[in-house]
Amino acid sequence: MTRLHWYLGFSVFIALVLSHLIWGEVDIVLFAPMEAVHREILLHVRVPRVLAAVAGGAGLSLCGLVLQTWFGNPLAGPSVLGVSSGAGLGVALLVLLGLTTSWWAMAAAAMAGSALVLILVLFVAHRFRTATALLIFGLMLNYVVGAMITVLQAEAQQDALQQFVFWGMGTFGHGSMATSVGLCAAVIFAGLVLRSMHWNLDTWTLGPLTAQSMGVNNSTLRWRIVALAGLLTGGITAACGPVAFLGLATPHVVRLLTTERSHRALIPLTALTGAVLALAADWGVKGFWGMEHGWPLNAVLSLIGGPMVIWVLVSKTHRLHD
Amino acid sequence: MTEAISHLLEVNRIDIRYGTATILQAAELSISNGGIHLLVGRNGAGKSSLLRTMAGLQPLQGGSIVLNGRDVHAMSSAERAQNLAFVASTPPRTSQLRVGEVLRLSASNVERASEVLAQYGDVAWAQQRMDALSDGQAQRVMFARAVLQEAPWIFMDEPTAFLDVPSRRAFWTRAVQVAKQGTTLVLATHDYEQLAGAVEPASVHLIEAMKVVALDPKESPSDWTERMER
Repeated sequence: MTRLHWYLGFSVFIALVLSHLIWGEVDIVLFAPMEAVHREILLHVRVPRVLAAVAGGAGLSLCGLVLQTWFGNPLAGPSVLGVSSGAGLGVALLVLLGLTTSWWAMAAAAMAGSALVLILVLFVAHRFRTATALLIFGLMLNYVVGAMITVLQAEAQQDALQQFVFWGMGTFGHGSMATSVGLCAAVIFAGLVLRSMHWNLDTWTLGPLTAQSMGVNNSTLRWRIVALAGLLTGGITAACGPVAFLGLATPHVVRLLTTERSHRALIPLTALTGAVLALAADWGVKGFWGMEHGWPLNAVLSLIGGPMVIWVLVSKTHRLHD
Repeated sequence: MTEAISHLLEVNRIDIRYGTATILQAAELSISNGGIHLLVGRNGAGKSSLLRTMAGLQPLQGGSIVLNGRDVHAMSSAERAQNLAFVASTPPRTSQLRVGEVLRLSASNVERASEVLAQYGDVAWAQQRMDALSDGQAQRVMFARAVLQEAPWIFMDEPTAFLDVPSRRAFWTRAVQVAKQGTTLVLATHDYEQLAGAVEPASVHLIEAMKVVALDPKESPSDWTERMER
């Protein structure tokens, strides 16, 4: 990875951020005195949305990277292993049972839900001898949690149901400035903690026994991953709804674009690429020029992520041991 | 306390069980500092389980492993890594790190990593990814990494299983050199008949019927095999 690649990546990132701030239903000139209404739109709509997209993209992608490393499985990711569904169940319990719609309560419930599912996956993962079995387990968890959410929906009041369905479509555009800034702070914190763990994560790729013999405390590493993945997936899911594919696909995009494989490089690269992909996908949600209206976020991401998963499956550069 | 006693690895009446299956029961052995020590036995006898437990990487269900007066299982991860290095029986197959990056995880500097890579493999591998190497090549990289850890004890599980014949010979020659430099090597292996004439082990222990039995290291390796067949 050369410095040129970094400059290019940052340039695309800055260009996307500016494009989201400038263009929309009303075009805003940024670096000039602006009308009060434009300032309001900028501060209360566009900046929070950009921050949520950057934090959501970077955070879910980091979560995918660390889960793929931990499980030694290129198809691991928060949505594949049921971690996102766990977060969704936490939110569903609060919203559909009519307990509260406070974002902070939803975030706490989503974090608890995702952490619980991840703990379950971690405890049973060592029983599976193949990568495929773990993925099937994640798929089954998704079905079970999905069924529980469906039951809750069937029993819910109309307005709670409406609110939940709206949340479930996924968007970067619902958060307030406070939630978006909080999300960014959580992602920066998690990213820095992960970066400090790069030696442990690199060592882990050599196998649990070797890592342990080299001084990695496997138990501490496992619980840190649970905490960080829970924090990231839970916080982002509460704020943006269940966002598909970014966690799974971004680490593969990074591996396509660069030959770097050490976590010291992969962590910042994955965060940057995830933010860029989320900002790009959000243009699909807002609608490109000439489009009458945009598409749902998860539809846009699935259109990017689906082919990516197919690429992983057929790629000769990845070996699934089954 | 003499120097020899202070560097003793003692296995004190340990039990190793997997669920209801007992692998070792009240097993005992002691290994003094220096030389090459072999654990031999039939498939499934418990060599690998004993090796991992001696290296503090697997919990035990009874007894204790004491190194230098310290319970191995009570050591912190960092303390254990300073004392004991380990090479697993199968090399990593999914790591995409470059060989140079793997070695630098344990090496104090790049020059030392290159020097040890040249001894165990080929410096040209440094830029190759681990998942692009053959199992034998990857295993040789893992030997180099273990040596770079600079722990006074190295445990190796079936170290020659993936190696071609010239590489096996080179491995045993290198193992003797490492042992002469003061590192203690404890190896679980089926490959001991290769040793005849080339390596004189400091101790040989046979694992059979849930116990550890000390064999005479000066006997011919074929005598150990006969003992196993009885």
